[in-house]
Amino acid sequence: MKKLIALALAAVMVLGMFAGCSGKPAETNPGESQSANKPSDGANGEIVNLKWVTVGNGKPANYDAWKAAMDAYLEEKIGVHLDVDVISWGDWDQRRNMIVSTNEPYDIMFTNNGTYYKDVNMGAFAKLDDLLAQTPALKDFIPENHWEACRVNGGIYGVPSYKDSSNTFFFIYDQEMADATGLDYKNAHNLADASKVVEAMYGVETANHAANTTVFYLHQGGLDALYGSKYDDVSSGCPAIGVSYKNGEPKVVSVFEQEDIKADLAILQDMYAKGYINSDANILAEAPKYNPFGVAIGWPSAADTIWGPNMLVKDLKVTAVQWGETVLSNATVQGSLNCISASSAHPEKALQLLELVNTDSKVRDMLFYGLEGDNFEYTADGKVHKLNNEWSMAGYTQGTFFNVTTLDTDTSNQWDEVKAQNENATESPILGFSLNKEPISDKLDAIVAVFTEWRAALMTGSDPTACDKMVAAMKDAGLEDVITEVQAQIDAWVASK
Amino acid sequence: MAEKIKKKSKSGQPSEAMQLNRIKPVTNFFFNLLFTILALACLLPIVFIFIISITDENVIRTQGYQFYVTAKTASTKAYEYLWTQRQTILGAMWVSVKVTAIGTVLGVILTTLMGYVLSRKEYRLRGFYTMLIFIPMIFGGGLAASYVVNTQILHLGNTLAILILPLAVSSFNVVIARTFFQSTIPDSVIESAKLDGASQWSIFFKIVLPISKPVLATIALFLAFGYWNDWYQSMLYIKDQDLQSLQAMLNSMQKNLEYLTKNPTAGMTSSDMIRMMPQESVRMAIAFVVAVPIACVYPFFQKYFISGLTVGAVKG
Amino acid sequence: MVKEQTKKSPKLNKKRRVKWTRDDTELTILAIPTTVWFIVFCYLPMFGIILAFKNYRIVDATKSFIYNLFQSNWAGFENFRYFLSLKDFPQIFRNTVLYNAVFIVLDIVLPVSLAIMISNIRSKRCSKTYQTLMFMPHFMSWVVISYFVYAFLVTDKGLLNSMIRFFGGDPINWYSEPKYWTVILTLMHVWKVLGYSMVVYLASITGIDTSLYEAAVLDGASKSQQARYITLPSLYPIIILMFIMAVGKIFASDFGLFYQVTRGAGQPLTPVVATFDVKIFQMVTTSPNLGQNAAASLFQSVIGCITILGANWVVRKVDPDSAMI
Repeated sequence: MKKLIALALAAVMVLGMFAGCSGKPAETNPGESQSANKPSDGANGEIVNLKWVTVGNGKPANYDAWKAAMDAYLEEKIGVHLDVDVISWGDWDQRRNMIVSTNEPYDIMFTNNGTYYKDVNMGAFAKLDDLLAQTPALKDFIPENHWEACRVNGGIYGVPSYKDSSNTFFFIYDQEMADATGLDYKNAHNLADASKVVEAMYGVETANHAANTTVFYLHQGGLDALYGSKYDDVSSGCPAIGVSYKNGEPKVVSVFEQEDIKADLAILQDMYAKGYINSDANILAEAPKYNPFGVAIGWPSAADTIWGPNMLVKDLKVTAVQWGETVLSNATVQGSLNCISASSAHPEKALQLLELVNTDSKVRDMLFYGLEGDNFEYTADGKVHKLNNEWSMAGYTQGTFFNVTTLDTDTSNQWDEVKAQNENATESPILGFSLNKEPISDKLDAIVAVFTEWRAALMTGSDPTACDKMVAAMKDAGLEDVITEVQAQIDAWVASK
Repeated sequence: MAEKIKKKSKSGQPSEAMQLNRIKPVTNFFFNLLFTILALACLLPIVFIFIISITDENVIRTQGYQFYVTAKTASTKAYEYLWTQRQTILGAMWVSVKVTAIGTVLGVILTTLMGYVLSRKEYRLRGFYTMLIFIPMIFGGGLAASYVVNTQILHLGNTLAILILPLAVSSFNVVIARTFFQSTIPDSVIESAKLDGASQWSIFFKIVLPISKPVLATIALFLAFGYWNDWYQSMLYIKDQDLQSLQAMLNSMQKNLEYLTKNPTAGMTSSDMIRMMPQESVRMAIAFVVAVPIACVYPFFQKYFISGLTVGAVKG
Repeated sequence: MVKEQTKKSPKLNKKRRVKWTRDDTELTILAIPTTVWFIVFCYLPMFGIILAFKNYRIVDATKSFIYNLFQSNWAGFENFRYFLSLKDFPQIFRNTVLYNAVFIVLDIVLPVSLAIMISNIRSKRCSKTYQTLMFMPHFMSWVVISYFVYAFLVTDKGLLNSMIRFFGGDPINWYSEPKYWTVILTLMHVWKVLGYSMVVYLASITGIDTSLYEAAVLDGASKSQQARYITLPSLYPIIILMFIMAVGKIFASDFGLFYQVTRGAGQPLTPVVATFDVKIFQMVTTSPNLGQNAAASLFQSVIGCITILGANWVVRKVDPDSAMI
């Protein structure tokens, strides 16, 4: 026992030693901003260093040159120098979690609906309500209901990226195959009709598709559009509870017991059983790039600009047909947010920067396309010509799309389409409501765990018994209680409005 | 000196008896058969990976993974792609090599030092040190605490050191070393060296290490594998591309793609990146390229595992 | 707590002193570098254990993690309660312990037998080749192995189903049939660690004094008698060591094996693949809560500690020299 005590003592001593040293860091990595915690007075005309942590395809190769150009411009505009940490997609979840919870110095952090509430509740981000008064251009640029969607416990803690902030689901067809069926697929706006087209496509033989082979490739995430287009999950992170977009009534229901969902699931199971869906859907981590039929979130012209090219088949034409209505909810708006650290020494400067990103096309283009002359150049008619595809920052994480200069290859401005979608979207009846998970967190976590377990079997249609078994397990874990509590909170919120 | 000890400890006179002490030819045959089967079962996946890496992407898509490849379905595209990326890949490989080499040497030294100290039964603090290495085997502070220590106290974030230091020692290896020293190094050897006036320092380096090649090789091997295959440290701490190891690169390729597939919002506007991301065959090609160097180094370590028997029997 | 074993060497016993000797000083100096390493990388982060009992919040954002950790509210055993009260906890517990029990036995019996066999193979060249090849699985990550397993088992195009069809059987939907997976997972585990463990034992076999065998041959001992009376007893220390350490991990599961090899299929395989580390992974990904995760790993550690001390105690009773501590 003595030895244990001795060991503990030694450990404590060494700990103390290190704690003593930790005040003066042994070395600082070059290029890494330590500014976030070091107050230097920006108001006196001194340059403020800001650090922005975001996700992307890793640090760009020409980062230093880009930073020099960016700093020169920002210094002149708002007296700011900017460091951007672009963390790789695959590393993001874990790394972000570490940075936020260990309070590593940063000024701006990209986040989304998956973690926003949790981090705000942890106390990681600064409340922006008062600060926003100083940046009226930003406040006015983003529609009021988008700000509302970002409220947590009454406060705004993040700046939403005003872009495809509403969700619209599309069926995507290989046009050649869909045409060959002779069906009126362009007017098939629900899964039942689309599945008939799929059925007919199954037998079609083209250069890209052998007859009687899989038409609809799903990976194990499954067809989440099935509930995503119909129910708002109340930002619970659990699709099993939801409020229907349809009738505007703020009523929480058990999603997988609803008739419309059950009907669509039956269609999905039928497609799986008949072999239209790949038999390994429940264990496939990623679907192949070429798909005769698919479902995706986007906007109509994405068929030509994104989905078509993504399939990597030469001269392939794809057609997108809208499935259901465009919906707008907390979750869709929070698809991309930028929050300011509660420990930032210059939250007002950070917000100014975000304002500039959303209102100044030059800054926006530099973040979106990279270094002028290296990654892109402006054409005579004021469009952008991309020189290469090497820029590794992700445009959607930074700010709005609507001040991004369009590409010279775009025939129409697809962002106008997106804007129109946003404006005509069906608003969720509970837009702006933020759920307090505290009283039900254990039950909710348990239900989410049940869903995670069943997701692949259920949402790919591979197991017809999945739905009933899953709902039973969820009820066992307290689904009813959760629904009651969420409903009570919503009712209180409605009453307070 | 080492030679002398070896003779003492193994009393290794070439002996007629040992030459005769072999298993029967029939037994030998069955053993060989068994091991051939096992070896083939173990070889299969790497062959499989290689086959996929030279299979045409379209064939993989339409027919799934194949266990054979014909002239028609073969494609060198994956390796051509790797060739265009050779600078990045060689850079990453150089990081892997550096980390593995430095880490293995450092780890072996730290591990065997402690292992030796613990193997000395008369050492007063033996019990204390046994606890010191035993506790971390069971208890750990967890990821968040280690992260804070490494980045905010030690300031090792985004350095080569963070890839090396935390993996250098493991209690497991220390205990292996201790057990080896305890059971194979006769106390008499050390006692007599001490009578000659040798310090523990010189006993360890001049006597113990030279006759402990099998355990050195075992620990070096474990460490080398650990370092070569590690991507976790890189994922948590490394920002710069030029500090990324080969395994980390492979892992992030895989994970990036999964992330983008599962995040429609991200995938939508990052489609340029998705299109540029390497396909299945390329990832398999990298997995193959990662495995080959370490597989080639293995026989080098292995020499020492077998040396014990042959030294005793043949060289004497 | 820790007794020094000196019974067997009376020579040392005589020298057992109370005084600190030059030897002790020298050995302490030798141990310094490793000690520093352990303190910095193992003991310094140990404050993280507190997380398990805290409801972690960033109380004052301008202060460090450690400050906030200590300032956060105590949660008592709340964080433990969450997963201990999970509906599937008994299932997870049973799976983890049962798989580990099977693995512990197989991981000793198979590699030890194979190590003895391979050390007897006449051609050293063959022996080396086998070892190299059998090490291959260890080179590969579970992700890569999962591709390989997938290629074997996938319903439509899988090799195994093609074979079944060839012999006129009905193809099996492997990834939806829980009953096969206990065997598949055990097989994959053994396949992956076999070569590696064999090397550990082989390294010990090579350390055995050859004069023992010579004496045995002169006494007319057969090969199997030599294995039984010389090789095996010489391997006991390392076998027991590996056993104790494996027992300490009785409540940990290989995430790669149980999650990646099944390709995260989830239900209906869950009843046979749900193990502790898979659950922790799900907790981390669905609701990353530092406190709950810390509690889960602390729970694992405590169980591990109890089992390891228990095993050590038993070993000490039977053969004091082989005990680990």
